[in-house]
Amino acid sequence: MFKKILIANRGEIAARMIRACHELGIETVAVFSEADSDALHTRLADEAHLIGPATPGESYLRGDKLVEVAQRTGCEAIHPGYGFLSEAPAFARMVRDAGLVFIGPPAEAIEKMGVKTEARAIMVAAGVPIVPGFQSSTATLDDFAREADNIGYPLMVKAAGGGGGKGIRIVHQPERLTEAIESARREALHAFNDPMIFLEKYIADGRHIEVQILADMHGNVIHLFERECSIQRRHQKIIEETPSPFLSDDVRLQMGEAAVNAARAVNYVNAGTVEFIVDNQMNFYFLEMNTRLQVEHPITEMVTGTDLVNAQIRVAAGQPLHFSQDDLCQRGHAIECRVYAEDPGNHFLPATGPVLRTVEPAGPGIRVDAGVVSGDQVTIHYDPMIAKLIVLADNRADAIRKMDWALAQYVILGLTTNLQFLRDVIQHPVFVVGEATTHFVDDYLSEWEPPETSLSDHVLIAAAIGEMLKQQIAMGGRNGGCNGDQYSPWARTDRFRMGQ
Amino acid sequence: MEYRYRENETDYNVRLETNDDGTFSAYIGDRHYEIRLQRAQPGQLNLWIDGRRLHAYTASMKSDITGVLHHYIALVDREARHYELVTPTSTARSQRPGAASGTLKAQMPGQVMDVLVAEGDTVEQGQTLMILEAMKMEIRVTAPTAGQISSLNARKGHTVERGQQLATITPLPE
Repeated sequence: MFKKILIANRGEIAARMIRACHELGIETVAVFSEADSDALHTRLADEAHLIGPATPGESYLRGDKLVEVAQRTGCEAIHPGYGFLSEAPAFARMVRDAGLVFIGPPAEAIEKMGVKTEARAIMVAAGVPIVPGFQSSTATLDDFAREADNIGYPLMVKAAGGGGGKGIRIVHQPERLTEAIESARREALHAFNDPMIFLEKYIADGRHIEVQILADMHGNVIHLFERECSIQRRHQKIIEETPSPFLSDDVRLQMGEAAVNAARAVNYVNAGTVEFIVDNQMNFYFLEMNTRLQVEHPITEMVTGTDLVNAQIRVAAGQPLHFSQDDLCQRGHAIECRVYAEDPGNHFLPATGPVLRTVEPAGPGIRVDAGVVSGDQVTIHYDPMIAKLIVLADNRADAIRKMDWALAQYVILGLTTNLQFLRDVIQHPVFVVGEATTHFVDDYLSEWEPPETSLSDHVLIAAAIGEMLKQQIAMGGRNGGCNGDQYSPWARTDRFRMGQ
Repeated sequence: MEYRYRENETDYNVRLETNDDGTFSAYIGDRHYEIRLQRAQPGQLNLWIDGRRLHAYTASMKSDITGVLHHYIALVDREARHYELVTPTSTARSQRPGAASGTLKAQMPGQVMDVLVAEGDTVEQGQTLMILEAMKMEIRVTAPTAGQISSLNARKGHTVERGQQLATITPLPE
């Protein structure tokens, strides 16, 4: 087993990976940009090293610097997490060539799956159904327009090198195609350094359902069932759950097998996710394979009782999987909500600023994977996700109730967040009966606004008492220091008392 | 002690008085409440208000940009909600949104990726004026009204704060 691992990421996933390493007795080395000098991951790791300016291209995406820090600090392996360099074959190769272990799939598998257009061809050969579409590296705008007419509208323009909802456009009318292609290319070039795009039929009322797989170096490939991720805004998932409330057991098994076949087709090793779109007839089509850990991996961990990051590290160290397909079942129901610094009442525009205080919910079956806690900053440089809130309960109805309670208990002061929006989603009748599709937010909550309530006197009283206590601290109290704690507002001998 | 707050352009006054038995009285308008602190530390309050429990978290911060003091309150109970109030000041009043129509402000902090118009250009309503980027997302800033670009405050490559003025559009006479 490794003794020291470099954590090539930031935010909640860096914290998640550091925790998994420490549980295994592995030391961790964090890296950070100038904007992250005091970020959570730098405080949790055993060491932290500055690698460059805030712009990801000059820090977290600088593979050469990551490898250099890993070698200098005596790391044996690098875990990329998700995003950043996690799906960059050149980086996986660079790590391998430096004599280090890349905790993820072989560069060749990332490469094959990373170019969405190539992945589609491999899936066809492996007998996995794909969504009708058009791809060509030499096509002109006219070619695209002609093929688009064949596919039919609405359709999607997608970045070949894309992910995370970036570089995706839905086009409803032919007149909008050129603009969408150009805009998607620009965004793709900027985000992935690859302007190639392809067209794909837009499946109306589709559900986004993905299958987690795990493969070791000894030929074992297993799946850990599905995750349904239909609740999205701006093509980014915000709520995921498992099991899917939609799938039949038959189709669930077929999708699991298809995912294992997809992984075998590219000689996959380590954790990966095969994404499918499922239409209302329960036909499923391959969308793409994410050759890395997913943001929403905790719900799978919750229902299967596994630790995927732990498994990733063991697999990368050459160990065989320590559980088999037959060991796995889905116990109970898990839901994840992504808590974002953003304004759901204003097109989900990101919010930035200091987080003055967070209070995380806790209790049986409640897990918080946070990247931002009290005193931290949400900056413009990185994704505005604050935390993932995950619950596990015996069944879906109880999981929804538990999530509602946990969201209500979650306190985040100083920033606009989507906490209230998330509560409204999980309480929505369409979500409650399990019939939400990827259209859900657009169909039912596009005009969402915070609940209109007049400010209650209780809020004003809480504000005034809070302000009063703060002022008393600032003044140090009239007799501050008499009990040895000059900062305590209670170190006073006047009429002000508590606990009557 | 008097505390003043503003939310949604409405001002509120809260007067707190300490009673002999350590409880507080609060006066808001013509309403009066008896308050007992069960356990309270800065930022975290367990109160009884007229015998009803209130569990709240509070924090406040002065904005670097506007100098306005913002108060954040979260009530943690069945109807859990987050609130934001400000301490009213004369500048806060004059800087309230709803300035001259045709003034375009950044809705999010970000970087100006591209500016597609120049000062003096005539634009149509909905026309894309510039492209902002934050967290690798493109946001197109469009003209809220038809008219002439009378001032342009954004330059390609600049970083803008939320609420910063980007451009002013003067409607053309019919």
